[in-house]
Amino acid sequence: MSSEIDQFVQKEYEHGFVTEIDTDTIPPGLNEDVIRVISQKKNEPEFLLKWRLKAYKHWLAMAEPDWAKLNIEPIPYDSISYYSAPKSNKDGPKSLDEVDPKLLETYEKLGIPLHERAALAGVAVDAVFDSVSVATTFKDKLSKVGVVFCPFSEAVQTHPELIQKYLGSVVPTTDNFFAALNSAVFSDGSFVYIPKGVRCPMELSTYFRINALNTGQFERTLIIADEASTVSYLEGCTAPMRDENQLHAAVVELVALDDASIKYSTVQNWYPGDENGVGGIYNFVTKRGDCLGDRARISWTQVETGSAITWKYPSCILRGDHSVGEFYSVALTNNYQQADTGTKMIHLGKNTRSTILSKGISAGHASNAYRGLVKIAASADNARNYTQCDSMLLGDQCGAHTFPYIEVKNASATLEHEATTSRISEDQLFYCMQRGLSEEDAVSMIVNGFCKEVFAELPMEFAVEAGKLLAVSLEGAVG
Amino acid sequence: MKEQYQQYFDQHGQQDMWRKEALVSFGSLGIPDTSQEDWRYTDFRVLKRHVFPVAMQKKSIDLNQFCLPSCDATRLVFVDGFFKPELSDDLPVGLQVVPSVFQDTDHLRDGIEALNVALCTAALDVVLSASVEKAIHCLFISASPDVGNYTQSRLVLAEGVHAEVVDMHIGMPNVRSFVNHQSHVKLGRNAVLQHYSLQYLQNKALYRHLMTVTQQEKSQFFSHAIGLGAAMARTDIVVELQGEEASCTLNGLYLTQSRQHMDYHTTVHHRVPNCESHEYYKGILMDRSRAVFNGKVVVHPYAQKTEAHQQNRNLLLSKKSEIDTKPELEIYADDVSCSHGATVGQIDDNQLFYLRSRGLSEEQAKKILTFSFAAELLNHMTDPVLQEHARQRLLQILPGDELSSELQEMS
Amino acid sequence: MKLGSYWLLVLKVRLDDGFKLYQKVQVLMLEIKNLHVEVDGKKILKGIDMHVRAGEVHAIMGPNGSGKSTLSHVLSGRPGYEITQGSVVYKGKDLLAMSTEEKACEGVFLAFQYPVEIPGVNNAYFLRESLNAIRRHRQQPEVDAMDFMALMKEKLEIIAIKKDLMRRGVNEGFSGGEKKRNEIFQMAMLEPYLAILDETDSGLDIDALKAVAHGVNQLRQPDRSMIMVTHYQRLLDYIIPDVVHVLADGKIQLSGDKDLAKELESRGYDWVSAA
Repeated sequence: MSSEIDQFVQKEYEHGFVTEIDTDTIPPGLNEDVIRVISQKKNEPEFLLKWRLKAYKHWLAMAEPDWAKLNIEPIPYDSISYYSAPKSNKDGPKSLDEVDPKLLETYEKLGIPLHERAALAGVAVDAVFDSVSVATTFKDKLSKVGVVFCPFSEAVQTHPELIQKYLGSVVPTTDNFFAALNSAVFSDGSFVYIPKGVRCPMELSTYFRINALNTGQFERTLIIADEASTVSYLEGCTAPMRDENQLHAAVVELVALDDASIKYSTVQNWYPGDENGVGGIYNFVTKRGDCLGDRARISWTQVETGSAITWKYPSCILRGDHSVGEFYSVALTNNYQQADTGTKMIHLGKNTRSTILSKGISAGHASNAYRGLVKIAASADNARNYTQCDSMLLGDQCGAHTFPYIEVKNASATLEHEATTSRISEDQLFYCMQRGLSEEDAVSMIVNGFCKEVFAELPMEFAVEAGKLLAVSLEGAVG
Repeated sequence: MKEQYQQYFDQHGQQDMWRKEALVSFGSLGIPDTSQEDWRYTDFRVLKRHVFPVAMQKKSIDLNQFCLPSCDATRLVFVDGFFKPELSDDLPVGLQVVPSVFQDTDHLRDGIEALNVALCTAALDVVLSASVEKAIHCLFISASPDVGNYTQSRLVLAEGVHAEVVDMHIGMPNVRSFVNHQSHVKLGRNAVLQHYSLQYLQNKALYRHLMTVTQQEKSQFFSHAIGLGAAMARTDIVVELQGEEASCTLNGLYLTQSRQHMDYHTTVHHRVPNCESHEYYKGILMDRSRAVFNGKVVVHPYAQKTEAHQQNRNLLLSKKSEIDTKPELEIYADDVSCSHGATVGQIDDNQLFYLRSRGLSEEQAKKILTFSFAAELLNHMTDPVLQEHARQRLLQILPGDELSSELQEMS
Repeated sequence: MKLGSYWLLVLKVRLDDGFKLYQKVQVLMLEIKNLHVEVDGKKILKGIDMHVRAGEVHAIMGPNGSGKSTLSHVLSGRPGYEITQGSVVYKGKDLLAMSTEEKACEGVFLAFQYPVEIPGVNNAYFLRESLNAIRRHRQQPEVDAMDFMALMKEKLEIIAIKKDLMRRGVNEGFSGGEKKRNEIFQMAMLEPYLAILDETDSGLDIDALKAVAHGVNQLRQPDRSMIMVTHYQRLLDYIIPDVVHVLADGKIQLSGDKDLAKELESRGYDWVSAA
């Protein structure tokens, strides 16, 4: 089958354009002064600067994690610029009209509905370009019901009490190397607060884009769902094609209080590097949700098709009794992409439940690992977990791995873990082709079928996009 | 620690070159600690505090005090790490006992293995060029307190040879000792080995068994590992499938109670196409005990048409017990059928209710259900005498009144 | 629908083209000449000659290992077979030169002996993709979702297959009978010119067999030929063939009309080899 694989036409990364725009970028390198400059540019309160500096001190003493099944080129932390902002945006846009039209054009190219399209889709969008947030739509409509959805830097000014209370409460600055780095240098991101009892009237969405050369993107997202509130949040990512590896080290923290529900969906399509593995984004992301309250629910859905390296374990701390954690993932790696991704479900409360459904697709020379931890603490009576990890291999040069860690300290727990590995069988291909489908279409159809249960968890418009993304990402690899 | 062993070594030990090298390696490798991925759940730090030298006095043993299976087999008895010809059957052709069979000091995995290589006192060397009718029963008895039992065995089966080999580890009660055993198996074409590793040690023993297996074309390896004893036990089984159409079956049952800690690590390397591996481990955890299962299957590049299936099921009977299970798959070939599964659960309430509604006490019902959970695995044992022997041992350990014989058969 | 009324329908549709139709009925659909096929160096087919005219139903019978399935796989383009000699002309074109999907688009349909399961791929979606691939090939406009649903509804009635199966994955969790029925349903949807039914009767009980046969009979028409590959005669009680071939040892040993099948049933395959 591998010869047939090679017949596929290489398709170039669709979002690989660079936007010519004046940026305000600080010189590469990292020291306390750089952090002070970032903090100053953001006009941050003193507590935040102190917090950053503390994180930086920790970071200096930490080493990059090496337990993942990844081959990582050394990252030159000293030649990365830790802040890059579009210049015209120095004071921050007051409204969409003030946003640089070139930027808007960029987002148009990316297919992000900032204007009318946003209205049609009913999605409120916060767009993060390099390091700063450039636009947030639907602010008015959201604020009527009390929902706060704004750039992180704005929230620091307007809701410092919430920031001070919750920032770092889920992912402490000391959590891991990349989280510490992010805590020290993060420049922007999104902030969401859903007040008590409010069902957020629309999907909230953030688009991230890395544009400038030699910059890292370190955004920070904090979502707080107060008691009995509900929110669905989408995140999309793209980056231009460059020969150098670029670093993306984000932190996302979710806090769900009693009876609150947060659904967080990601379609990650950072530039994966070319077919020889040159360039591409290093995606080292710490995402964690804390079901702080009873009956809280946090659900992660991710479709990971981009990045040269993905290191990402969206996790749930099931602290409240009866809280629920979910993780639905499709990770596709092609060419020389590497992914080590999965989740952690930490059961602390009684009657907590978690579900993990992971679909890994590996093609070309790629390596795709699921790594997951399900931990049932002694306090977690009657905890339940169901895990299913399926891998699909396309071609005989790639690898698919499963590393589940199951730790149970409470006898009333019930856990099930299943994993399978398959490929597209010759019989399936022949069957489809005998019905007139080209091999390419047949493969894409079968892979989509494989991922169906995860796509079903995505909001409608994202599900369609995810399906297409999969087909595009597979081209040049499949068979 | 190294110094203490060195001192002992200089005074009493055999002075072969490789032993000295192994001791040096022990110094550099050290006792594994939980920062190492392979040891993250099993902490052998007790070996850092206590030195377990080779036994100095030869202890005499009356075998009748042990409840042994009455198999028609060639029995070889080792006490405190030394071979006891007077308690053993005559060595048939192809079998001999030597001071050591494993002298490779270049690829030592950890300090415990290094210690075994440095200090080994007796090794069974089995090289079979034809099938033997009788099974080979090796009885390792840990009799004296505070000594290390450093033993090895090598099993080499030539083309087409069938054999059954049993390693049974037992010990005297309340004897704190360290059993450090390793076995190495080489199976030629079409060779078939039924291997039993029966760890029935007493409550204070420490145990480590490292087993490596290499398999040539169409050979079949069946491993039956039963762990019922020891304070702390760690078993490593590493299988290399090197010839096409070779197959291995790894079955295991562990039952832990009080504060026991038992760890099974298995690794199966599929290096060539068309091989099969099947793995089925079950665990029952009681009291404050803890068990670890780590099953790893690696399908190397070009090992197409691999069949690899693995299951680990655990029954938790006590709130204070802990299970850590990690079934891993590493796959580098696309035309393979691999799966693994792990479950952790309790006795099914419906089943319990059903049995109680038929008049059984809760305790009896639990005992029956637990026993049947384990019996499913014991049924895979091909030697009926060993199977029955394991059943009886299991029943003694499980709390509750004796089950009537019909019920035993029912399960 | 009786055959007579079918003729009327065809005549009505193609009234202006009546003469051509008459010709077409006479026209060769498939011509196999001296076909030799090997699998892994082993000779399976050792010189097959066969003519199938438009509208005809041919039955190929033979004992296990005679090469029946090989023939149907070669005709439908399954990889793994080496054609060492001979030719196959389908509607005037070299069938062996076509890729699998080209064959399908040109109207060659294989009803599989063992229809494969494709988890997660919706049956109806699959069929629509397939139908549109064929229509694109024929430079016909693609059918939209509405038209497709209407078409599907119509064909579902002919085949008498449960509608909710269409919402499931392709053959996913179908019973043996459902899978076979689904094959015939797909045939009805894709409207091939040459349908090859590979052991369609295997694994079916008598009711399922009747239902499948009924569906196949509904799909018989003057511009569609069928080749039924079967081990047993019983299928031929329900689908009456025009020609029966007996395949043994890689060659057609005997050809005749439907009575040949009856004779085979009573006398067994040994009789053919002996003859």
